[in-house]
Amino acid sequence: MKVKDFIDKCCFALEVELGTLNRDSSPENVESWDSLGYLNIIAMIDKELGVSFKADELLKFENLSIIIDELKKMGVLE
Amino acid sequence: MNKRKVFISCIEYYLPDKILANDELQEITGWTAGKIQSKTGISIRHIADQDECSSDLGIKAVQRLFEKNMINKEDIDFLIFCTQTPDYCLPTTACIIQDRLGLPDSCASFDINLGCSGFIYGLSIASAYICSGMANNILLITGETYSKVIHPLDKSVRTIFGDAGSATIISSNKGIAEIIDFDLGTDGSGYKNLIVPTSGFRTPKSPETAIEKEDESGNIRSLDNLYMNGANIFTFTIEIVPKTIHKLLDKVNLQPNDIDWFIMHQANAFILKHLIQKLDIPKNKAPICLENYGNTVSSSIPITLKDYQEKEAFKNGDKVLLVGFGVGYSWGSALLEWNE
Repeated sequence: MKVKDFIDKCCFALEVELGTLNRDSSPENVESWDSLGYLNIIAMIDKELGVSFKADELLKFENLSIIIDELKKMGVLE
Repeated sequence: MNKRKVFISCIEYYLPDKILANDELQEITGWTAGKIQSKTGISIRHIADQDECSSDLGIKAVQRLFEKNMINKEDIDFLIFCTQTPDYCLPTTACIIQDRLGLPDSCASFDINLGCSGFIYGLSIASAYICSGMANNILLITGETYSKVIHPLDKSVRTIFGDAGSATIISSNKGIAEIIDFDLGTDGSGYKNLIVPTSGFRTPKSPETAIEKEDESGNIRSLDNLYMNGANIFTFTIEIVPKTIHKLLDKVNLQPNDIDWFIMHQANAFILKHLIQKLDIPKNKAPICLENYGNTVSSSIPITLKDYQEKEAFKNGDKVLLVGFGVGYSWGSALLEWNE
């Protein structure tokens, strides 16, 4: 999956308008990225990329950029 | 030697009268009643009265079961009570229930301390006793009052859990469904993710453990209350549920398409919808049945079975796969063949 498509899917997961999120997006600057927002991102990554992050792991990712880099390392994002 | 057949004979459940509706939870969640419903799939939960214990819920379910099915108490030779909120840590609540129900003193009675997997484990224990010839009719009761350990200002659990009791007869005689096989499992490394820290003797209750603290999501609780790490429970669930289903199907040489019904523990709608998608199950084969109950822990599977039996959803020969998962972590799946 391409990074842009992944960010679009994060917009759906966090229920924000398409184009609202970027690599700097984080729980600090996205209101819907609360504990349920985390669950939505975990569920989306599991469904779309077949990757099951442990919740504790994901909580350490401070922004979208770190999640993207981690998924790139795993070879599931281009 | 042929294995003795084991059947579920009948199921009933009981819900306490008091109701906690979403509009009462708007203030602590900051969400509208509609948003709570859409996030959790739950509109109302039934909550036990202060003087109503897990045994009371279970006994009311049994009384309903006995009345509707003309069961002779003398025929019950085992009583298994599944709860994590017993009337007492000591003595065994099942003994109290045996007395209150007037079951014969030949009836072996014991508790099992399991949550969302408890009904499956109870069925497996009952099956083993019946297969071995040690018992013919077993009364499996579930009863849970998580509300008693939930802090009123902890939205992470108060929006989810409801109280309930259920009663099921497992028998060597013909019943509504034959029990075919099981897969059971445990990963105790997750025990801290759903816990009442002072519920036993490891961390005794004290004035310090009663101190209430606010977490990063604004929920308030003390160590005397139920704590749930929802994100960790979710990741555990989406990993383990597909595994236990596939393991059981392999064991009985069936494919997912051979299964007519997937009756999963009714944790919350979010988890269930994700599991249905991940498992690629048609929605009509996997009921979501918690709108009027919430997550009733070990009672959620028997409640769903009973509701769908009453709707006459199950047809003779239907293969019904049950899956329980949660606190412990503990999980189990069971295959039934409907045979009403």
